[in-house]
Amino acid sequence: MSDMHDKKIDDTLRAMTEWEGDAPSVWKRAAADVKSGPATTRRSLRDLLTSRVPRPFLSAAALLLIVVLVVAALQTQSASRVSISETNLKQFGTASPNVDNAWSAPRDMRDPTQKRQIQDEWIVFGYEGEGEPHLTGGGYGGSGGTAVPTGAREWDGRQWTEAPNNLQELTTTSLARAVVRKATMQLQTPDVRAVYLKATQIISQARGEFISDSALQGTDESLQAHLTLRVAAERLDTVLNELRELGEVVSEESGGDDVTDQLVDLQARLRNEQRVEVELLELLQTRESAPLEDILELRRQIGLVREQIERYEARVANINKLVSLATVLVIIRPAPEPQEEEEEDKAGVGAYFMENLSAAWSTGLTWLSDSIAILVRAFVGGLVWWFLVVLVVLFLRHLWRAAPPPRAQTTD
Amino acid sequence: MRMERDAADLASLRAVASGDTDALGQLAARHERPMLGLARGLLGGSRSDAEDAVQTTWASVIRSSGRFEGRSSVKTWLYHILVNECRDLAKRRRVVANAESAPDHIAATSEQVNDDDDPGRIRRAVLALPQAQREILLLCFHNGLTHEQAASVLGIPAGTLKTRLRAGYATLRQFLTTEAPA
Repeated sequence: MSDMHDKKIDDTLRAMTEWEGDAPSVWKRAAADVKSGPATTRRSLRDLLTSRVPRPFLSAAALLLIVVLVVAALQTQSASRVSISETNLKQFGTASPNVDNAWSAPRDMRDPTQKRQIQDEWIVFGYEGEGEPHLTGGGYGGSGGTAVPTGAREWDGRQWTEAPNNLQELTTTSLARAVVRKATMQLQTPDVRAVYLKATQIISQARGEFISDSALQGTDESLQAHLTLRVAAERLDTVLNELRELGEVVSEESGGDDVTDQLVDLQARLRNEQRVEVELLELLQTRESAPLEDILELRRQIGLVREQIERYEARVANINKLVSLATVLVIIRPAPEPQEEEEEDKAGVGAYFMENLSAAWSTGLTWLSDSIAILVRAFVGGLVWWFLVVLVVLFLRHLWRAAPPPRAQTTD
Repeated sequence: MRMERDAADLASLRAVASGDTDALGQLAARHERPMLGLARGLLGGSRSDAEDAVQTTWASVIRSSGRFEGRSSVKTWLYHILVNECRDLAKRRRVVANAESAPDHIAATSEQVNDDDDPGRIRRAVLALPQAQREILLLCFHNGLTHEQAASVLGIPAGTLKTRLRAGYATLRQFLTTEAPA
């Protein structure tokens, strides 16, 4: 019985795999299809993957796409810059005022022009006199100092020392720059009047500091104040630190105008005029027997020179005064009122529970939206990569399918 | 003899790679008919589906002929492609699910199809087998392939093929004995 069943099974299986009738020569249709072009069906993709001509094209296209993506990624990285927040700049300004920033770039003593300039600066800033001494090596000016010849003593902040005779030993770091310093600070505080009063106490009259301008305007919530402080240049940092402690710093700016060249030029002109005056006076003494007209003309010239000298001296003094005293503009505004605290609901546990539930609901929604956003970002952002992955998978699938099977071990 | 056939197939395939359409005809003359038969069996008896599968196979052969590396015989390679095409086609047309409503059923040489007789029931049982067993049964009983060649076509070891063949055959036998018509 089982043999009969087996025979039926065998016969049926063989019959299932037999082709009745003539073969329809589908190979001709296949050849015609290949010649006419790939079919626009799903198989066309396989044909595209398997055909000799499209595969290199596909590989080249994939490679080109990868190159484009890599280049685009590199361009994006190089194009991104950390931008300095304008708010930070406005709030904190540029580098805080510092005397050392006034120093110029190193100059070459071998250059005759620069050497002469250095010599002139040394002459201008090395002096001894009354009042606040100059600090060579600092960016400070004095108040009405006069020039002295090279080789004078210099004040290093503690004592007078002999100035070096060999100017070539000098480096530019030991020379002064004349810088007119300015700073602006905007403060925010709940009590404008109190901060205003404290700000006025910061100045030191003993150092010649003063308030050049001040105003307190408005009432209550609209009360505002501004002060213009003239403080010693060397105390500018200290004053700004003290001002920062008075309130919340909304903005801060600082800067300086380098007037060194202007001052050096004035000093040179002054020195020249002084020499001329000396020569004219000597000439007047030696020409006492000269005609009256000559003597009068000489006196007139001496007067003109003296006038010019005094004009130069005044300008030098003015610049020194500006350099010695920095200008600080302080603007004080009221701080915005804090939001009123909500009245606490003292209804008890129920209200507490509802409040927490509401917060949890909000947080949950936030997390949900974040999660969805991540998924969308991954999908959209990686769309190109998904496409490449699909291509690779199809390509490998085709390779697996089209690859000839291992050589069969025949037994017949 | 077999080696001569393999050599002839290889020569024809090389010629196809160089664009010789007649060489393709020679190849088809030797293999198209059995390929159609196998495809019909794999696709539930549909002649039209079998023709489509074989046509697609030939198209793949034409395009891939230059990449044949000779690691197997040309015949095995052809059937490997054919089996894959039949799988794809079956997926698209759900041949197994609609086997009983296929437009072209297998016609016996001298008798009409009768699902109630043993051959019909056996056909139904074969189509109801898992795909792997069904393919193995049909390939192994296909007149054109030996068991070793069938194993190569399917890409499985010969031992695995024989194991699955026995299992499928046993299932059919059991089906036939337990569901014998009254």
